[in-house]
Amino acid sequence: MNIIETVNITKKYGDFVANDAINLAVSEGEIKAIVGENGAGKTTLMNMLYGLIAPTSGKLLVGGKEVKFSSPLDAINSGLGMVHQHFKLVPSLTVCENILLGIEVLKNKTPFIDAKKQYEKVQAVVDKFKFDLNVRDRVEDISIGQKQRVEIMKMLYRNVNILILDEPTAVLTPQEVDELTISLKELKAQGKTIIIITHKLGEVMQLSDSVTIIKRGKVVGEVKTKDTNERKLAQMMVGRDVVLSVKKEEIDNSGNPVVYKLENISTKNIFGKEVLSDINLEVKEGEVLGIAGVEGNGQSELLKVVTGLMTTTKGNITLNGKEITNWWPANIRDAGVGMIHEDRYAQGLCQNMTIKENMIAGYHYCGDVCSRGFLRSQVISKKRDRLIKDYDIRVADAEGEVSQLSGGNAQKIIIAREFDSKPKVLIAAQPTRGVDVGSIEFIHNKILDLRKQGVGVLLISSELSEIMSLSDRIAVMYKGKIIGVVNQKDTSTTELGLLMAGITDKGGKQE
Amino acid sequence: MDYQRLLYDAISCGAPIILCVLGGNFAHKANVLNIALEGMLLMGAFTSVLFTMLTKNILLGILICILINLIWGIVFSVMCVTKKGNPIIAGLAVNMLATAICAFLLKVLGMANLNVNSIVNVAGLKIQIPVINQIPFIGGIISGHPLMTYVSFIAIFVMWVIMYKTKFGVYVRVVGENEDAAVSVGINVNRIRYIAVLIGAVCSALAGINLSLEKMALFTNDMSAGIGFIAIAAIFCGSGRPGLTSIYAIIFGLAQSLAINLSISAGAYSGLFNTIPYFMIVFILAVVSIIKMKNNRVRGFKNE
Repeated sequence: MNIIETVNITKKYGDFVANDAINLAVSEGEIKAIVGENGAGKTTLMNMLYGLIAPTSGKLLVGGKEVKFSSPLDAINSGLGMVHQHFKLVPSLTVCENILLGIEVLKNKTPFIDAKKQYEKVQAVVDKFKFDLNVRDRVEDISIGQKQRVEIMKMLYRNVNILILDEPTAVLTPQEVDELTISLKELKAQGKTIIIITHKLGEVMQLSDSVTIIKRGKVVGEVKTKDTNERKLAQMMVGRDVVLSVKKEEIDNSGNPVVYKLENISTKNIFGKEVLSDINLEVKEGEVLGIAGVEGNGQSELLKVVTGLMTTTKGNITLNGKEITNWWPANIRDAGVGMIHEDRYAQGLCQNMTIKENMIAGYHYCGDVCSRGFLRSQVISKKRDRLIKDYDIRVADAEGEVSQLSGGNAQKIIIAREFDSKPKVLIAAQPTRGVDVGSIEFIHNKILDLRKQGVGVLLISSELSEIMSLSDRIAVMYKGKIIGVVNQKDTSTTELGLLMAGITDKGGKQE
Repeated sequence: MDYQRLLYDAISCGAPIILCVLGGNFAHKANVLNIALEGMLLMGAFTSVLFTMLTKNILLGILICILINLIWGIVFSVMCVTKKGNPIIAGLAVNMLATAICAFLLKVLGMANLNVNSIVNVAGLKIQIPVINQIPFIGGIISGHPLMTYVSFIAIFVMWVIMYKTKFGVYVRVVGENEDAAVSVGINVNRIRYIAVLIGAVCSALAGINLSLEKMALFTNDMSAGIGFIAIAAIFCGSGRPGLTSIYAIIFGLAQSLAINLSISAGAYSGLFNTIPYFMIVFILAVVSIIKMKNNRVRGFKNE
């Protein structure tokens, strides 16, 4: 029996077809995976199921009956709950208040909230599903894995039978992923139907019963998990054979001189809390140093400090022995540090400016693009055309704005700009976040090219597979500290996972 | 200087600011920048006196005044909640319209100001609290204020309860802090914002009534004199928390009281002291900003 079924469901935005006549069927009590590249239309489909957006045409059936949702509340009332990729939680409220948001328990016929009763009721449900949560904690104080559990709990409390999880593992440590897997299997055993949206094929294989593959808004395949493998799924997703991980050449760089060095770097956030404490790192020429860690353990602050967007409270940063601590970004770039920021549209590019302007952003006073304070349009155009060719950037209109480009191509503009400036050191943060599989391969190869040329690379990434396939050495961050540095060759994802969770083989769990 | 007089005036001047602040807090917490407080306050002061004069009935005057301010609140909400307009421009429009309407109607009526002394007995509206007014020094400060002044102080507690102990208060804070979270559980975000703005409108009406009708039985042009803006400053300084913002409101009230009492004995230079409250705002805003930004190590404007 199909608990959810869509019949030719279509969503159009003007001329753009985000979902084209999708037929999806989910049977009761199964774990269904929906895979596809970024921009394939997975999230659009889920948002239609959840009532966040209305389909242009087509039908949605829940439990065999046709339904029309005008808001998420309708979906929840029909037994459908969604856990979003970006959690929809209120940091200043407690776990309990977040779970009960919208369905507060009131004192008899008054508008006042009955806090005591709320705690009791939520605790009962948390116990029932064996979740590890303290209902009185404020959401701002709990870990990301716990936040996700709050989101799941929010739906379970509302008695949903069908749980949709959008990219549930994107922000978790490998161990937390395992815990989530156990939780989901427990929920399945209790009779819930689960739909997970993901582009991580390993987890699809590990978790799901059946898989639906979506490409460019269309269903291109539907298979039972036991009849397929990662390679076949990847092929269907991208439409061609892809290399799932790039091959790194073995280079002996252990004797190379140190090009970039951080000594005792510390800084505080706006609340006066130390978010980086005594960071010591060295990057040698021709070496990729990966920074792994669960998001929110100081990687963003480290990136800001090394790129000049945030000042330190103590410590030194040196490039080839020259002190560059707390320099402004322009000077740091000038000194020979290339930067790929974690949010390409916030710090990397200006979306409403042309490709041409973005190609020289940050280097607009360098070399021959600028003369006596005036930009030389023809030189810049030539540079743009050269980079578009060299870096295989697919643009519809070379004179147009960056906003027309897909995520992968926008990221390639940054890559082209920073790599073309011949940096001595490259700082790359989440270089392939939200980028399609084909572009990931390209960007990874480019980074390895730089390594071969003797550039030192500091790679900050929350994708453990990326860190593992590119790095020579890996430093793991936990609560603003470097908790361990390991050689890529001698480590495993299990060891890294333990470090990411703050567990070292010596002292046990660090606080 | 007469310290008893100074503190009595501080409470008296603080009351309309407190009312504006308490009403404005909800919009602030719901993430609506309500700079229309000033215009609503002026409108409250004007319409309460005008309709008391026309109906010859204080209660009716107050009632109509509140109704009119609710309409202003709805106008503002339609512009910046439903239509998602820029709240600064919408607020500015409300403020300028309010000033213009008051000036225009005064001109039409052919009066320099509206005086309802014959209907309203200002001294009679002052409430002497038994027992407390017998306490030396303090009695003279706390007792002898009109109704709305007491309402404003009681409202601090009431608004705190609404903000932190009721479903509506939770929703207001959720809407401001994470709108997506509110939408995803089916909270009607716009309705919460409307109510938040309307609470501000009603409170501004009460503040206006306090300012003109109760304390002076008189309306003069531009008598709000920036009190609505002072309230916005207090809301910002106290991050929208009822208790803290009220403390800032009282501090600004004290500044106004200082201005009044110092200028009495200043002779030719008395006008100079009227600048005290405004200097105080700049000073306090600067200090609060410095404290809030003390630990900021992120370069540029954004701080996430």
